[in-house]
Amino acid sequence: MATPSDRPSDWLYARIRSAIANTPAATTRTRTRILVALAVVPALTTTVVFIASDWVYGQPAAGLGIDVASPGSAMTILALLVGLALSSTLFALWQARGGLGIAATSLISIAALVVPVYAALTVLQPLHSGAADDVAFTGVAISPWGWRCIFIATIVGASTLAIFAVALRRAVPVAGALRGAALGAAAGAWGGVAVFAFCPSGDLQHLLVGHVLPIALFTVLGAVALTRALQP
Amino acid sequence: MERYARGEDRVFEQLYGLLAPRLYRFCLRLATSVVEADDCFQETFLKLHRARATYATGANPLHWAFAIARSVYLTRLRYWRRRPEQLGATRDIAEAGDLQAHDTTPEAEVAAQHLHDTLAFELSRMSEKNRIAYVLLKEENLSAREAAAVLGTSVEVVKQRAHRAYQSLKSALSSAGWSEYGNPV
Repeated sequence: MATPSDRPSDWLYARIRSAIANTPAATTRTRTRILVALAVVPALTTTVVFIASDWVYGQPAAGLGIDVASPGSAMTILALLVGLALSSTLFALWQARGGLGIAATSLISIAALVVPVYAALTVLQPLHSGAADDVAFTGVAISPWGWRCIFIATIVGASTLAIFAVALRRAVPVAGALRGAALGAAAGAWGGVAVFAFCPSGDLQHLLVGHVLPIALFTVLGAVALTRALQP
Repeated sequence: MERYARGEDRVFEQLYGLLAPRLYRFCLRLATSVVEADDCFQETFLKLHRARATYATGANPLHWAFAIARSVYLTRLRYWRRRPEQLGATRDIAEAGDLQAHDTTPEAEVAAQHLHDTLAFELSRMSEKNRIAYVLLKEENLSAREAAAVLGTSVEVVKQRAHRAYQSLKSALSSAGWSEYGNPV
């Protein structure tokens, strides 16, 4: 039952009105920003892969062409990885009907599952035999620590995470850390797509450190770094 | 809200009129003093204004405002926990209720005030998570799913927290000599 003291006073309204009159507000709707992000991120990933692969191996998407027994397998895995990145992105960015984002359990699922699913697709049964890890095969020395891949995954992941942060800036009033983690996992997944298409290595250590680890790190980075930017 | 989100500033007064009563009551329940509730309320509207372009068409603006208010409150709580300071006595929500009625006896009014004070004190004592779950479900009449969306957690967790709050209130009423239905025992 409402009582007189449960109503805000007139002077409080005046204070709020005055503060709002002096406060600028963005006019670009979040939905527009999300659509732009969904268009830019795949284009960015493709561009980085083509440039990097051409620079290092002299051909676009070396990971899909060098030391590949079955081109069909390569395209299938690539399609699955793109599907993983795209689906995690869509769910992490989605405002849902209430405007408060998807359920916390779903966000946790995205953050927790992207890494193991990516590892299952690329590490359990590597596409490459490991022949390209011999410098004589491609003329390119591939580090067992995957430094080039870490660099490429970082470029793509960091850019993607920044794009996501801009898309959802001030749009996440609840579960900011979980949302950030889901966005980080999605950004990491795009980095994972990039290194899969770029890199012909089949070495287990290289795959784990250079391909899988960056996704895990971006998941954590998203949870830590995005919370404040996402809050209204 | 959709019109305000599109940039129509002139509808603010209308929006305020629709949101303010329930949002203010929610802020009173969040905070432990009227001054704090006022600050939380003002900051919520400010953030709502700044973030208006992020409003999702079709969403319930009140639930969205509740979520922002809670986020504001938690931010302020974390800030003041890092900077504890001694404040003078302020009116608290137990004093804010006006239970004057013209058709009850003085004894009934005192009893009602005592009941009100007991409930308000117990609500202010319990953890913020349990209190807010209780307020959203029992006072604001949100569904468990809606409350879970506002709080950013699962339906089961919301129900558990509300249940714990209800048990605390029941225990407090019992200790103060009331039955769970508000009758003296």
